[in-house]
Amino acid sequence: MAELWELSLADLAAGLGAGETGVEDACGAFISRAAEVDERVNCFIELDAAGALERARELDRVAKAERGPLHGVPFAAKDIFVEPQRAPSAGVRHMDLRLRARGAAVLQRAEGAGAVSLGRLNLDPWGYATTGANAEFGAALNPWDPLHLAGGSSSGAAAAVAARALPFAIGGDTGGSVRIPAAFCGVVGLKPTFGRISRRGSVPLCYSQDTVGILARSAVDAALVLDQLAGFDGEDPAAINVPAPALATRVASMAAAGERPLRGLRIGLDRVPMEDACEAESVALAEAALKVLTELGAGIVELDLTLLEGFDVAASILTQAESASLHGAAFRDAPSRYPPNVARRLSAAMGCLGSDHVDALRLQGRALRELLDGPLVAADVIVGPAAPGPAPRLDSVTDASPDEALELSLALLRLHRPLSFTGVPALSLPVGFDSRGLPVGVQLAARPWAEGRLLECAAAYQSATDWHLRAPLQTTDQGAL
Amino acid sequence: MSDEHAGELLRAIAAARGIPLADADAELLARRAAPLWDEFRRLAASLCADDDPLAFRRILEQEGAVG
Repeated sequence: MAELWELSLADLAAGLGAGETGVEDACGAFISRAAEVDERVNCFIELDAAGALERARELDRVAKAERGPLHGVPFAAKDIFVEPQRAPSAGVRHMDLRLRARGAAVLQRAEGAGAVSLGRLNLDPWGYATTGANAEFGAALNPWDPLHLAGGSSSGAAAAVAARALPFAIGGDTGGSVRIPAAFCGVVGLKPTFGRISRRGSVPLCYSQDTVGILARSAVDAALVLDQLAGFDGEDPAAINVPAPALATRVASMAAAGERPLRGLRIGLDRVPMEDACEAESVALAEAALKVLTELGAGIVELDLTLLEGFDVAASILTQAESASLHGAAFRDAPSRYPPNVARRLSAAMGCLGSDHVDALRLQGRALRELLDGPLVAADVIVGPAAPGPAPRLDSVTDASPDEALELSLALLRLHRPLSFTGVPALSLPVGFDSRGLPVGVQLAARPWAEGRLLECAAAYQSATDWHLRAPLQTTDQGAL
Repeated sequence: MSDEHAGELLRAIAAARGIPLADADAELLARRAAPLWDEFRRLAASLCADDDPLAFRRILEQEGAVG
């Protein structure tokens, strides 16, 4: 019989909602698994077993008719969200940004749906890098091979979900911070449309691009979570009043659909950046994934995305300008508190003028318009690489100079930042393992608010493949990892 | 602005903001940032006067209304 932590979110939620599984039992099983996994990969900043079990016992007393869709489902969030009695660390020991909110909207929504927080997850300092390296809390490591990094900045979230320490996790994505670690750890990472999930009560990085994202084992699980977390929040200045999606049933039915469920779907692809930027094994796995998608009925449309990629520099300036606004005073007072790679970016940001920020904002609207009027007319979904290769080794970052570490982050950002700049939804989909046994992912993107299309496409792919069912850090017959 | 003056400007900005930045670091940062700024200036030069900074949000709203 499967352990509770092995169940998909959908199966776990069904058992909990029906009362076939007790919430305390489920949380206890995940807490044990999370503690074992955390020893290996350092995914948690804080594992709150006592708090989770107390809430689990409360939920066990809730009548069946009053149970939410995520009743008793354990989760955790990247440590950038405010809780009533606790300020987030943002991945640093001295988080000195003051936040007005007393609680994070997304945590309230998750808990309102019945989910149980097991704690707070590791991340790159300030969420301002993409590797998962963190000198203060220790790096979050890759559960497929702990000599490699998890990727970031939602590093602990991806590592924990991949290692079955959590059924889902909440992250944050400004320029790839959900999609990059998801690709490195072999899980689904969804960056919703800008304004889809409330950011109220989170530590910002770049107001004009920050989104709250979801990490889950499968597209079906991610849809279940998105349905609960999305929704207009008048107290989030970024929120846009678009009806919340109801995708869970639609996406689950796609996963169970018969032959050629993607018939008529046009997948756009620019082969040049994929072949230029990526290792040969990653390209081969992406090509194999495209073949599966075409066998499922999708057609391939060749695209030239040079124009979109050109906006990467504007995304970079926008992030610099807004992060300088956030961190300028603290950086001026105590620059040594910032990790060298973050300090370099903040130093460079001091050269941004107000007019540069306005230009970047003006370019943001133009980039979105050009994407909508060009590539996203020709194609329903755009596919591209999620990383140049598999997760880098820990020592390739810790032994690197600040310049080299920064260059590694930038190589990853270039694949994600232009899409983040346009605000469209994007999803990282695991498509296999390289010869070293490390996961490889591709990225899908679609028109604003079309998360359903991405999740359906991913669910159809996962119904035809089993990459998402493989788990690292398996227990032996004796129970050891 | 020529490259030779970029480090000087960055140092001046840093000094005005009270940020300690050694001469060598300012030169290095300026040299590294120069290609990025060139690229950004080229892109910004392509903007039309009516490319409004609020357009991004309006387009997202319109897309949401279309459904």
